Amino acid sequence: MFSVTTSAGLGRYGLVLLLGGLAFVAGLVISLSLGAVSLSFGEVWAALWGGGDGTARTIVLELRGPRTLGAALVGGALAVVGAVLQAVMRNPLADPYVLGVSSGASVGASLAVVLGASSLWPAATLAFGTALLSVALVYRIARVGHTAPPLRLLLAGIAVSSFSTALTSLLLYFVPEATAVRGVLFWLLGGLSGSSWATLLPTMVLVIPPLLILFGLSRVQTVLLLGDEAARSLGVDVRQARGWLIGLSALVAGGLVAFAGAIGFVGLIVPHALRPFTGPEHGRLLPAAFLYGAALMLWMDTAARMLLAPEELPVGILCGLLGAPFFLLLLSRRGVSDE
Amino acid sequence: MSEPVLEVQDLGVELSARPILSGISFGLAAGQRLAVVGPNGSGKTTLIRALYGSVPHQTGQIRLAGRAIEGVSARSLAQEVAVVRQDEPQAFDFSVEGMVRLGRSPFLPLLGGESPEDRRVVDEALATMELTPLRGRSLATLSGGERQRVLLARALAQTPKLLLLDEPTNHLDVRHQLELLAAVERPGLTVVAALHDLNAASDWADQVLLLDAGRISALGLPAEVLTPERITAVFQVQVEPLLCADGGRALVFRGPGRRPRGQISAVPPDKSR
Repeated sequence: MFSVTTSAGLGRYGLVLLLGGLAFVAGLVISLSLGAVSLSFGEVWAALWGGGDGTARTIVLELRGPRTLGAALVGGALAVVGAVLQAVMRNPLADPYVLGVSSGASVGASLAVVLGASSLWPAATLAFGTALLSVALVYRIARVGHTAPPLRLLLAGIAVSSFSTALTSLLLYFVPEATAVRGVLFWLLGGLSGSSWATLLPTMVLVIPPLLILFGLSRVQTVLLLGDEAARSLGVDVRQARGWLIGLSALVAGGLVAFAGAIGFVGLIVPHALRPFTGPEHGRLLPAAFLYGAALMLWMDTAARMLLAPEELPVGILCGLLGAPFFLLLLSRRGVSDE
Repeated sequence: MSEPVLEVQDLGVELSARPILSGISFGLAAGQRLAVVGPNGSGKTTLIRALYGSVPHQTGQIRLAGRAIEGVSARSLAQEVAVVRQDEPQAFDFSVEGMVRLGRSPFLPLLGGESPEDRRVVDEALATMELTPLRGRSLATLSGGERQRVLLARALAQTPKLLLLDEPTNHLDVRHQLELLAAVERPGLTVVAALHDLNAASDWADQVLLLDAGRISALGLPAEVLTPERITAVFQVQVEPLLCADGGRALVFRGPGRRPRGQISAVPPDKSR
């Protein structure tokens, strides 16, 4: 645990949201203005309202606009799904990447490309299917009686994740064409460079409704944090609730992976870092997680664009580089036991 | 005539095709307290879990205020039955107040918030368990006894007709055990508690149900059920009743030592628990 007291008064929570909001707005601004061609704030502002220079308008509205919104959606949704999966698994170390959901979704998305799909829909549908399959498999393997102990869950996640990654790589091997290779690699690495309105809009349609339902089910998630027996005694039908939450999470993760590939650790870090400030109640945690996840992804994606400019680093690589050490830190601090 | 709050008829529970409980029948009126005692593995916890629908029963019936609990949703059952188990390990750090407020969750609409009435019930539960000064504290900073009071306050916030306690005093010292049991002696509240401590069970309960290998060995008033002969038969220990100065009765237990050694007659009193 990071902090000893969690007197999450509304004033403190308001401050958390305010700071997150500021980081988010700043992230929007830098994401729209920085890149291969840097634009001033004034130029971005003019372009947003349909004025200014034609090139700037194209950059802002057609290239960076969908990418910026996409980054915010991916980061925010990953953080929310991470928090939900942590509640469902009753394990603070869960997230779609660690549990093998993201890599499972990559298999479906890659398969769609190999089979010749050209739009996002078939990729997202297949990604959802394989994501659901992966998480069910991980939970089955890890389960002992009614719970899945942290260590077993992590090990099962690693096993399923490496298996999925190997499958995706195998698909890569069978597809010699350069474009398909790029496509499959993209899902393995995770990145936002391919974002366009054509891929963002269907992603929003797929991801936002289940995300809103997850927000609506926040109280059930909070009760699940107490464990199956306690949740049952507080009136939650645990099997049913868990099924719905996992299904909705896989739907969101499938859509996100089809759009941006498997991006790791955001879903793990953000809820974890926020809990000491918001308390464990999901009614408070989820809105903050969305805001901070979105802000973090905007900053990371802009950094990924700028670090090796004019080349771009897939943001998934950057997330992995920064996230994995954080994950190890958590592991050592918590002293995860196989209780 | 008031209807019994809880009626159990010929209850039978199997887990993984192994019979755990069979032929369990009893009834409790409003405000009555039943202690369920028996050796480890005799089915105490399973009986408690069956009463809140956490394990299904294969035979018999459980009726709550005249209504069979089979087919009742977890949510509506939780509006009438609350449970306190042994110290719940917490993977996530709640505040005292946050934990007690979860007791209202069976009553809240899916998308709605707490009403003033919900908040009043929570405040009252905190006050009853003397937790008001600790309401902002994190559970991780509390002692085992304080945490158990929080779980009891959460159960009271469910405003239950029936309160179930599953060995709630296991991690508590003598004083906290007595305080916890005293705290659930509330007018009109029917309580079923699985207890290890036979003396505490005897003092606290109106009725005692002695389980042996999943069956009722005896059911009735504490003094009738917890006789030295029966305890010796079921627990395989030797029992010596002591008469207390205030007219009460306490039991002293000795292991099944067939070759008594000198010290056995001088067992320190705390071994009796």
